[in-house]
Amino acid sequence: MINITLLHTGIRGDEKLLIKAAKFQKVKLEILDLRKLILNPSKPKAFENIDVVLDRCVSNFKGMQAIRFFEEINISVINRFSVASLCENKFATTARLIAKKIPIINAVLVFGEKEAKEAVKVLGGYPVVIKSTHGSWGRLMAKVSDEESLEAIIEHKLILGSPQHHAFYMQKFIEKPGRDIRAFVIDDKTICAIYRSSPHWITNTARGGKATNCRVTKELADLCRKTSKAMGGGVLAMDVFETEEGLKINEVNHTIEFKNSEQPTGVSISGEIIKYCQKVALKK
Amino acid sequence: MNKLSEANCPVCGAKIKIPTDVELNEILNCAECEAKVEVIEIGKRVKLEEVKIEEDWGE
Repeated sequence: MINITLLHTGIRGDEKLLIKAAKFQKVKLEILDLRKLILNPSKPKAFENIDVVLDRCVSNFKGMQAIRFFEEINISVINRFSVASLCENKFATTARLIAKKIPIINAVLVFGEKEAKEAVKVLGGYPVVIKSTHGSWGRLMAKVSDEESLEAIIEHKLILGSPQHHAFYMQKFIEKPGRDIRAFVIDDKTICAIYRSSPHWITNTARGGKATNCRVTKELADLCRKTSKAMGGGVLAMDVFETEEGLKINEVNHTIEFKNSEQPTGVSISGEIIKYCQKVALKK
Repeated sequence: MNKLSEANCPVCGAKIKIPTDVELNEILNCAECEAKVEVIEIGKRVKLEEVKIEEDWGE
């Protein structure tokens, strides 16, 4: 029997849905708390019963260490380290997708105030959005509307932030129609999508955005398929903006949260993830 | 609908509803003080511990 191991650093509603989906599909799902493990590369046999690891760590840093470890001892992980390391870094995502000629919100990376002011011109003027290269749930993002605000934000980040916050990922601000699209993509196929609607410019559901079903059009499916292939495939969630020039990728996520999306879409995202885990395990 | 039991929030002491299908290490929210708490023991009683959201949490 296939052994899928759900690796976590705390069980959220998403993981509970995965546990239920595995039970429903009569698949063995082992629950492993990463915080309780000793990852010893000298003792790989401790994990030899695992066919595939499903990384569900809410802690990105811990999860990345585990993915690296399990791949080094020849255990398949969803998502692969190469995919996760692209997704976790917004600038890496941008660079990869621009290199692959995939429509994405234009962004640059700078390390100082003078360069940030130059970058605003490169991006077409204010407003711009400053983000950390790493981070999630719409945190530590700033919409910057003028130079005085830019100076203040950069000063705060330089003085108060860790070295990670001394790299400024700067994006052109996009006027959205009060919503963006979150597409769920497994094995290059868009299985469903939601609109995330909010009167606030940050539309993350973690920040109060409301989820409603979004029909998967050919344009959306094509964009997501190309993006998935460019990132390396797996189980991904793509944030897509509707712009005057068509759909554009904003970010790609690799440890996807979906608990608020199964009901509006009517799609068992958890069930599809478990099916994909079985497919990967059988490929071994 | 799951049948619920209760446990005290380790931060503010308010009652937190525990679903019957609760999992070990499940993260719950306190409706009173909005703290996130983790289920660290399931037995006759459910034991909860406060968890702090870290900077690298997310998707």
